[in-house]
Amino acid sequence: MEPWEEKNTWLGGGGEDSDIVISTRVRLARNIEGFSFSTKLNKKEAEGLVQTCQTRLIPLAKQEGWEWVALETLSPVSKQVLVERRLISRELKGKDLPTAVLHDPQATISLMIGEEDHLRLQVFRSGLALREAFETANRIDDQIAECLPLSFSHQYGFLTTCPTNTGTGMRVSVMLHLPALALTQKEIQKATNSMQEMGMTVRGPYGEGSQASGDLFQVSNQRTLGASELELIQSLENAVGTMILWERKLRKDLGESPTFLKDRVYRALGTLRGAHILSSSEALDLLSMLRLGRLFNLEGLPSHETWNRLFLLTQPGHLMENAGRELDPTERDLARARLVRKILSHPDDSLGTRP
Amino acid sequence: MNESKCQICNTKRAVIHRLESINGEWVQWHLCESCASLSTNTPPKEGLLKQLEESFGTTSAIPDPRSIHAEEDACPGCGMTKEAFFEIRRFGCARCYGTFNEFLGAYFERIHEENRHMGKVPGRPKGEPIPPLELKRLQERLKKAVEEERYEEAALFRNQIRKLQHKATSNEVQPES
Ligand SMILES: [Zn+2]
Ligand SMILES: [Zn+2]
Repeated sequence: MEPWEEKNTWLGGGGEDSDIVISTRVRLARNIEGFSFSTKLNKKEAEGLVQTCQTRLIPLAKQEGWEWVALETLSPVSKQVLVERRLISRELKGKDLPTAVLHDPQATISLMIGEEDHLRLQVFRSGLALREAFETANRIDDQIAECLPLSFSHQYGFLTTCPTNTGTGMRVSVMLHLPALALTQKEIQKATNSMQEMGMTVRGPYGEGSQASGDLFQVSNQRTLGASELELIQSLENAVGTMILWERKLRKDLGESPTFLKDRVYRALGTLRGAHILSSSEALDLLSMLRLGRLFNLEGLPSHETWNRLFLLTQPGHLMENAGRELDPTERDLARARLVRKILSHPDDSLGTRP
Repeated sequence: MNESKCQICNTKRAVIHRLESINGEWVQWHLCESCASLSTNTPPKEGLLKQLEESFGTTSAIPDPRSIHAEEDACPGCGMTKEAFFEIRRFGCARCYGTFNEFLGAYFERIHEENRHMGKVPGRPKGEPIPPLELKRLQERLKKAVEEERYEEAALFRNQIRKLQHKATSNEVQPES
């Protein structure tokens, strides 16, 4: 087992409300005094930025047990793997300038250097754990501020490259699994609208610009200025609480038509077991049904941990890492089907029947 | 600042202002008509930079477009103009916030509904006075939080107030809490 598959990671499968909330993320955006923002940063400055961060953050990194990864030393596949583990963003992966990431072995903390803002700190937790994740982020942020002079103004707070992050520089988000809500287009649209009315942004599972698939939705705060961190967390908790109640109610209704539910779940299982060509969106949609079935204690379905493994390992970067080479989309669809068949046909103790 | 001169010939008046992304970096060009048409009909790109490099022998002799401000409202830190800011909706450096302060209050209100930071304050250098408004706002928030029995938040505000007051009177460098 790899360290990032352990219980305490964001893919651990546990935590509060984990029947609906897959994971929690807190992100803080910071810039360092004396350097242009990314919009104006040239190669030389970017080199200086990465070097300064490396020098100044070494004691903190040692103390926390973080690993320093310079992105230019990585292959495209390795970078894609880091994206899928959410340790780096797609934006950081695409940068031409020198960039780096510091992260812990469990992949629950990452500090990106050279993203849209000089520093992007991320803390992940499994289930709903906004306050806990914020506490950790806040503590690390304080320590970073002791090592590096952060751009801050009393009026506008933390000064970020994009005005939509100014102030707290904080974006808190949760990944929700909403299969019952997503069963009807009307319900999920209503839910999405109500989230937006509550000041939240709703996105697909892979973040900005991504389509919703696998009934997975990321909900995050829109505003960052004019409210304290805890107020922002509170409003996200309120919004997510509404979604949780809504989804649970619809699941209860679903439980009253067990035949319909079983039909959906076991058709999905049958397809996943038999498929020889599997696109990533089809895989996600089918996997969603397995997770739902498991929550209803239906037999023969993967545990949350196994489900999370399937979710991660069927993504392009992980498939290519597993194959040891780059794969084109057609090859990936074959590899994905093969991997899913293998995991689902070798039930181990994580493939039990208990919830 | 005087009437702006072309960044290339440094003699003729700059009449063409263009924002270019060079290697992902936003650069504001201010050029005279002849220099702008020097390379091709297309806006100056890396090709132009190369051409300049050849004629000057070294890039360091080329004026850094970011250090030249054709417009009076350009940011002294990075050369970002108001127009460029509205075009890319990104700041170029921390000093942009001061440069554009005049319209930022209203701009932030449109995005965030408010325009004053209410979140955490990082370690403040010793002896720096507390902006009175910040303290007052925090005290208001504290009162409201207590009234609404949001004690966890109240504790946070109380901590921040204490931190602020402590920092202002202390001459020691404060360890972060
Ligand atoms: Zn000229
Ligand atoms: Zn600037």
